[in-house]
Amino acid sequence: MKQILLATALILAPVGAFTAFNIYFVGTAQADASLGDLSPMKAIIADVQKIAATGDFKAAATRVTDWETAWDDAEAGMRPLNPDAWGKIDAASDGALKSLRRGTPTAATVTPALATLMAALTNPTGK
Amino acid sequence: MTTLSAMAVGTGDQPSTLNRVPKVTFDFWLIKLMAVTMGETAADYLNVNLGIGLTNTSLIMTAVLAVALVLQFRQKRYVPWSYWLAVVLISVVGTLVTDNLVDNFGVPLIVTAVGFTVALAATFAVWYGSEGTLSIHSIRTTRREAWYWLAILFTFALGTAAGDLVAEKFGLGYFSTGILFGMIIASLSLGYFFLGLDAILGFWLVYILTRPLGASFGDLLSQTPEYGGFGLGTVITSAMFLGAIVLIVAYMSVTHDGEEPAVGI
Repeated sequence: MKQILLATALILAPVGAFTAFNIYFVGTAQADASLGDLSPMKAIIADVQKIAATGDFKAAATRVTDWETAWDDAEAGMRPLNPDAWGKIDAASDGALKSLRRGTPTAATVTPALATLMAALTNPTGK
Repeated sequence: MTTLSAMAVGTGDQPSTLNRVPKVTFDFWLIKLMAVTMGETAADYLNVNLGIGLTNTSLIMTAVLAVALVLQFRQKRYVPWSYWLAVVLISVVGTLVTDNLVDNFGVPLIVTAVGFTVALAATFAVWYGSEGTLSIHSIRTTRREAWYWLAILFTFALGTAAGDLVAEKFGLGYFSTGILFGMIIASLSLGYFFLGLDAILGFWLVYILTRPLGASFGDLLSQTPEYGGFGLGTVITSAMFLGAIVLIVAYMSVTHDGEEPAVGI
């Protein structure tokens, strides 16, 4: 029991110091913080939209995988900058991926899903 | 083999009483840290690039892990390549398990973290009840080794969930997350060296915490400079770590560094 208490104290001491440092010196994340340069990501989605417009949903699904890779790879750096804005784009991304991968994709489902994703990327903080 | 026999004779033990898992040395933590980083990036890479979905990737990697564990259990002593192969694969599968729970079943990270804490505590309780010791220096039977690997699997899953929870829900970047977990590990090490913290308790706590520390370190190397990283990308980062792991395992195989006779009860 004494050992458990010692271990707990040893874990809580640095957590407390770290939390205090963060509150006093770093402050909390801002609601309108930028996610950084999203233009390479937007370029991929613009490309997917162009391919989907020709009706070749198979090629569009292949190209959207490049988006998925780029988006997933950037998560660790981008998400903490503004978790809410990131979550908004991620939800739109899930919708777009589903529309191209589930069952038989149609323009009726793919076009609005891609438009929603593009809108989220253009204005991630919702202003 | 001559070193092994000499060691066994030197301590008055027969070779069958060798510990089946490695001694905890500097090499051990170095390779463990790299193995967890590899596990995280490899899991992401397989999931995205195999193109067979998270569920199928998980099933295939679990089958590969099962084969690796069979190989490891058959050694009946510590052999670096089979031991560390199993650790790397457990790291991959542990990450996939957490990803599955979050993405496919919508279980919140806080629930996964608490759930794995309970599972790990239960494992230690039953392990202790069955063996009368939790010592990692006397893993000399297949049953004890099974407890050891089950605990390892849960520490990886718990470490993944705890790291993701801190990074995502509390809005900390990978750099801050790395510093936080590094500080906790340093504190526990001080406790072990100077305040009499129990070696087995300290070992398992640090084993859990090196998972998020390794993940942060991997992110630091792989993320683009725009987000404060070195911009090496996940493929190069994984390849570098895999290369380093292979080198250290080769070194361990030659020097017999981590081998020890089983001690205690």
